[in-house]
Amino acid sequence: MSEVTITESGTYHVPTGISSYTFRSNENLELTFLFEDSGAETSITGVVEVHDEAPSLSITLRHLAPQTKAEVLIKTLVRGEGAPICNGAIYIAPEASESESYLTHHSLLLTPESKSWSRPSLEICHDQVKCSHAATMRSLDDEELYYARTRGLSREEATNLLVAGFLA
Amino acid sequence: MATANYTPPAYTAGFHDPETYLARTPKGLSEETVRAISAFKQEPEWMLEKRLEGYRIFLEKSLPTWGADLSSLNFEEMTYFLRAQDKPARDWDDVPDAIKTTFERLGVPQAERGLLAGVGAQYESEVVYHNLRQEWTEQGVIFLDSDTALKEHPEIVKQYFGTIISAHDNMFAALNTAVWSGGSFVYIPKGVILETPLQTYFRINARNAGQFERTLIIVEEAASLHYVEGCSAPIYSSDSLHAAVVEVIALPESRVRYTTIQNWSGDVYNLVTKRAVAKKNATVEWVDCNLGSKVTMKYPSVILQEEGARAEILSLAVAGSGQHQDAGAKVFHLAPNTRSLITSKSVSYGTGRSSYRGLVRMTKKARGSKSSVQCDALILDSTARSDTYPTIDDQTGSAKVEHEATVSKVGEEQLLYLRSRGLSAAAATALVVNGFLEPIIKQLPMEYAIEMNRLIELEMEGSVG
Repeated sequence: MSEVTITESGTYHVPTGISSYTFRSNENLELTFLFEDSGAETSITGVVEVHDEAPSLSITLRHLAPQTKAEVLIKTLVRGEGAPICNGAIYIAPEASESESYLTHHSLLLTPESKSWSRPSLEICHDQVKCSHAATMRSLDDEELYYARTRGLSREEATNLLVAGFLA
Repeated sequence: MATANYTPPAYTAGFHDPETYLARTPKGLSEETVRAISAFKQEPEWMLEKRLEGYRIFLEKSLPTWGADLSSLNFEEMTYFLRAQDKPARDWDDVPDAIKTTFERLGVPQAERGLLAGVGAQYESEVVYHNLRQEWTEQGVIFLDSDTALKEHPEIVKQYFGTIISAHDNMFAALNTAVWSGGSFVYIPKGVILETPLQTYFRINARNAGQFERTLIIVEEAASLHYVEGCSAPIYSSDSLHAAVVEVIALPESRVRYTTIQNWSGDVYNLVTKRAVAKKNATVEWVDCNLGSKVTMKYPSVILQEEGARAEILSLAVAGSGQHQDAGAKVFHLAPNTRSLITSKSVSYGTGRSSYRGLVRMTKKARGSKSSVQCDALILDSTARSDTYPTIDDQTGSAKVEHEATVSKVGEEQLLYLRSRGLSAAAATALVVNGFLEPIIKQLPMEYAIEMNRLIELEMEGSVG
């Protein structure tokens, strides 16, 4: 089992035996993961942290062989006037029976000027599969901030703590 | 590996009456056709202008490049206007027998007996039967077919017509603006709360007869309306087009629910534009049930224009072999503290394909707004397909948006349990499917809920589990 750190756009063939992919980016990134080996399983985690940039992240999972499994978790943190776009597509081919694929995308918007786009999609051509995707978008919770500040943290410290919690 | 092999039974409402239309335009669309429709209806000049503008826009627009395959639509082969009888009738006895028979097969008289309010039944391109309860007329409620409304209340129609969905919106909205005929017009005055739903039943009954209803609903301040439309069409081998436009205006503090039960036969293209605007603290609910049709593309939308407005959209789609249900919902949050909730349930079997396509947009002004989207799909055969294409566009740093979608098959454990209790594989599957759809079906008026459950059980017949 091994871990792969992704630094650039590309097509990744997921063999059996790679346990995870991770990436961290604030630039355009286009990633395609191909599941062509039966039984290939992986988890993919990514963080997109932007200040004023508006990068586009596209992740495509193509399940082409049976019993392939993927779990994707993307976290987007937006500061300043950032406006990132996240596209996440799952495709299950008619041949990919008993495959499982899950995609989750969380966005945290830190300023009133920040924006975020989330565009997940599912295309499923077989019945013996389990798939889901989920997306959430929110700003910092006033009550959480208030609680942290009553414990003696400054606004900045409290914000940093909550952001660290979001990314954890 | 159990595969549910569905062979849907023959479409029981698939019968048709001989065509006995008194007036119709020649096949194909031209400026003359548009002028002829307007002249035939003796419309005011401004409506003719709108129609001609719609026609010009239609010529400029092209078919959408996304979504379902519409390439086999042939606009030259369609009839754009036909008329079953000369005048809309108000009394059931005046309705021609052949038309009555059609409605009887569809269960409309039962609905009438069931203490339901006015029935506006659309048969072909014009409403043939309209009946509004006396007490509502006294309250100032207007429930007419759109053609009559244009004659009797031109000032209200002119004020709102095309203000929510302009002819520029899309190709089919432009086409509808050019050749619209029939549809319903509902006006609920300030403070009037209707306890029982208003309903209309309509169907397409002539080969290649396109239906282009235009529905306009205006609910004044603090008023409340539940509008129900049910559709059914007989089977024909050549393709039919249904391109309706529905505009709903919910003024401050009002409440509107629009329920659609759509059961077109398997050759109908159902391409409908539905949009509502909700003012301060108003609530708009779309309940959209899509069964039948060859291709459906329908995304009921709500524009939350003022503070505190709420939208709820329930979408149900069942796609069998040869069908593509491309349904969904759109919500635009344009004001602070607005709320939206979208629930979509779809079932695909055979070679059917069902898609959810949605959009939630939080604009800069939508501070403190919340939106939640839940899409569940059941996929019953290995040849079926299910897609989910939601889009979330958040432009404010202070809103909360959630989306969740799942796709699954009927659980083996659930089936095993039900079969161990003595149910056949088909009955067990039907039960699980009905349970899956129940959160939406329970929102329907009772007669429709019963009809829906019956329709779904009918679809499940012939399944071998």
